[in-house]
Amino acid sequence: MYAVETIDLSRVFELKGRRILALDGINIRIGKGEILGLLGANGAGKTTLVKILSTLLLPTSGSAYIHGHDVVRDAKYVRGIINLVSGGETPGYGMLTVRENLWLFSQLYGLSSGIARERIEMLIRDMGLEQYRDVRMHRLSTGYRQRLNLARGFINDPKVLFLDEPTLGLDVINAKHMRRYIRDWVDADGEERTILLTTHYLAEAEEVCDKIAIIYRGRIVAYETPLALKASLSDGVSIQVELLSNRTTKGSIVEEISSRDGVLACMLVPSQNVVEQGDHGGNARYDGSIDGLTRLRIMLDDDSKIPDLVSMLVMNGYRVLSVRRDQPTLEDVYMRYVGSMGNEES
Amino acid sequence: MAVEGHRPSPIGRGMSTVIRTVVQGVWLGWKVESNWTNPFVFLTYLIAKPIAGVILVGLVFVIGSSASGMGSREDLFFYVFIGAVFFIYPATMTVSLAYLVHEDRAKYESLKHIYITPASLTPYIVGRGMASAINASVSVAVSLIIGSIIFSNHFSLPLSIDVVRVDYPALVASILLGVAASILLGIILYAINLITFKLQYSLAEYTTGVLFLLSGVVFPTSMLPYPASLIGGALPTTHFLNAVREALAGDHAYTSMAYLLLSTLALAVISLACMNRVESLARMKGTIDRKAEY
Amino acid sequence: MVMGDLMLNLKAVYARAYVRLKGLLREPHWSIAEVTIPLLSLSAYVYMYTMLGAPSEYMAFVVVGGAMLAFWSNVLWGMSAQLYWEKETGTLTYYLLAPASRMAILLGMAAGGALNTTLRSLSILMVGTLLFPVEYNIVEPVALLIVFLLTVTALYGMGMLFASLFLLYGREATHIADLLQEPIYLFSGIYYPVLSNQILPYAVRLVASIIPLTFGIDAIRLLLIMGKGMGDIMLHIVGLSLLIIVLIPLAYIALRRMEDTSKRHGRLTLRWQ
Repeated sequence: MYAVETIDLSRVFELKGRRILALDGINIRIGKGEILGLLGANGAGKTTLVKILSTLLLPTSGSAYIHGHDVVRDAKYVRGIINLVSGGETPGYGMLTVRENLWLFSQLYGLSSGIARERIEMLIRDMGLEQYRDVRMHRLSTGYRQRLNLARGFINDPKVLFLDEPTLGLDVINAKHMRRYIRDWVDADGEERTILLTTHYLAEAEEVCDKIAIIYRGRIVAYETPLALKASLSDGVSIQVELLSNRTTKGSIVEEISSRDGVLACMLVPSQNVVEQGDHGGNARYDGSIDGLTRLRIMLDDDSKIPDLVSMLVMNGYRVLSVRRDQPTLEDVYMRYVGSMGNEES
Repeated sequence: MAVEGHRPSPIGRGMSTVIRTVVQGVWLGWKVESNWTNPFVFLTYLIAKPIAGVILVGLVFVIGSSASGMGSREDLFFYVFIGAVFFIYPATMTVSLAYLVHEDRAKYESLKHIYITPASLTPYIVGRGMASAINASVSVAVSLIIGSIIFSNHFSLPLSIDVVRVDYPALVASILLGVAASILLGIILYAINLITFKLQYSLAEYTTGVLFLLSGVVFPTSMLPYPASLIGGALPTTHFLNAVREALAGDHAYTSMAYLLLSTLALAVISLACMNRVESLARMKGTIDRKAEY
Repeated sequence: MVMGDLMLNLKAVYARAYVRLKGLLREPHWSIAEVTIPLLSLSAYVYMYTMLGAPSEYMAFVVVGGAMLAFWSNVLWGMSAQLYWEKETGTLTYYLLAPASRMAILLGMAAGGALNTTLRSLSILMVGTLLFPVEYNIVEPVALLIVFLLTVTALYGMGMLFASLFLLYGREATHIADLLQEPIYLFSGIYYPVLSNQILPYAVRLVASIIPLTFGIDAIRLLLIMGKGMGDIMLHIVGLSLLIIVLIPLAYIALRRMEDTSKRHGRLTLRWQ
């Protein structure tokens, strides 16, 4: 029996007469003790999948099981053994203290007073919230709120925990603390604990996940361990090229290269290691150029294509400053499967 | 990046910015508050709520005078009914401006963007207040017409207004002054809410409650115990309602109007001083973009 | 299993009511506002009745109506609009994730709200009685207690029903609550007797009877001010009981359907849709 299993799971949204296929025949199986990282652009279907699995949304077709229990028919049982933490959400009532908020949620799971008290104290300690125990939530910083949110997610000691972009908006220290905690939590009882983590941060997925699933337009396009995914690119070559140009339309060079024979993927190297742009990111983060300097990451099927590529760039008016061969990264994997668009999906 | 050719000349730039901000405030207020495309919202705020308030007062009058056996006193009904109808102006506008902080700061999170523009907040609030005054005028007109029809036809209480005798210039001037006074009062409430959080939901209701009790809306302020009667006498709303009643009855309204003008000027000094102080105080306290959470 | 479910849901009721009671202690300015603001309006109507020379019991009518008004405000804002507000803040998601019954959450909100509001309502009654020459004439206190409990139960049953319905209307929830505020004062007779008065047309009185507040205020006035007994308020008791029998199951059905519909269309966890 899998901790999470979906069979041909699909979900259609009807918006103003438009049918949007958010999930299209999803089949995943997450074993007990695993952390699965779900990667995908905004609108790819990550949150829809999490909502269906956490009983907040019904599927249009197909089925989903948590520890063998149908999320539609046995929703009540499923709720007792799961929990969900979403990044950037308010974890309770601002006028209640950290401890009171946790107590409130413990009661929704029917925890006895003794167990609730013990678990709340443990979570407060584990999350480093000791000095905020009796502080009202509205006085906490974003990082500590998210720690409280995570504590709320563990309050019923779930068998399956869904983490939907849990480190969204967190600083490096808080994000690291959270990643370390969830890894340790699963490792402490690998027979019973499972996590499905959606994230935009590839490093995060690589650091904590046993397996990675890439979702693109509602379909799972890759599903393997991070190592296996990277190995799957062994037939290709990953290079990084630095160019100088006065041309302002960076998009066109990407398209030009992508359309060439033997090019598997091409993208501008962003300033941060993120899969996609944030809501307010704009194009600046994706434009790897500084004063005419453009950095590209290109996947080729064969290294014999490198000289041709360089010639093409020179003929197009670019000054090639350097060509460096790289080891494939998870980013290459993502780019290979999702393509070079890197934009939000509609 | 500098954009050339679009900078206004330094002379008159200040005035132009103020006027533009007022106009922008009116436009935004119109868009936000009078959602004409949504008939439900239109009916709720501009029609149903104000009419219900006016009919409520009228029914209390009918039931109270019937219980006392004094019969239908048309002069008293005129006093009460016109008071309730025109009280819609200060009630709508003060509520609208007091909630504006919450709306811009917490709901739409736009206050910080407005605050960092070169324009002062005051012309923006004035613009929003004017939009609210336009809405209130619709409510007043509808309540006046429908209310008078209901009470005249069903309760034999005709509204004794002789359209020939009405002093229209005095009526218009009183309404304009009343609107100005309501905006100035709204600015004070806005200022309080800008630097505090606890009252953002209740301040408007406290204010309309106090004004309803002390402004001689449904009974003369002389009935109030001292010093409440004194406070009532100093409020521009009291003189606004009296001036409107007198103008509609064709009586000499100029004494009430003079009091209204004086009290409005006093209110202007207080509210502009308040806003001036609060704009920098809010920045110091960091309350411009902070949200209260419960 | 049944015992386990019962205990789980009782804990959920208590926990949700606890939030309400904490609010009373943590944010005392809410209670001060909710006592003071109705007192301002009711004072104006007391003066108006005085100006009109109405008998003294009319002042008492206003004070009692003003005290009961607190319940209507709480039902509208603390129940009906609250669930919608919790959707906006994301708290509703946490309730829906948990195995506790949604009805338990609503019951907790109602219980906490009813307890809070009873304290506020009594405060309004006390201050109103101190401010104005109001006289009471209670013959059957037990009948008064029964009517009060029935009124509060029916009112919160209506609140629970509205809470579910408001979720359906999404962004317009606050507008509906606003729409239901003043017009209900008009029909329910907050400041004047409605059922025992022929001034309002029969059809209006009939429609007004759907709102538990109408029966409740009328019966409480008869028992508290007019010296009447159980025999005089049987119609009110029957009316309120019928409302309870209808409203609470309706609230349950509406909640179930609402959750189901919302889960189908993905509404419950979407904000500002």
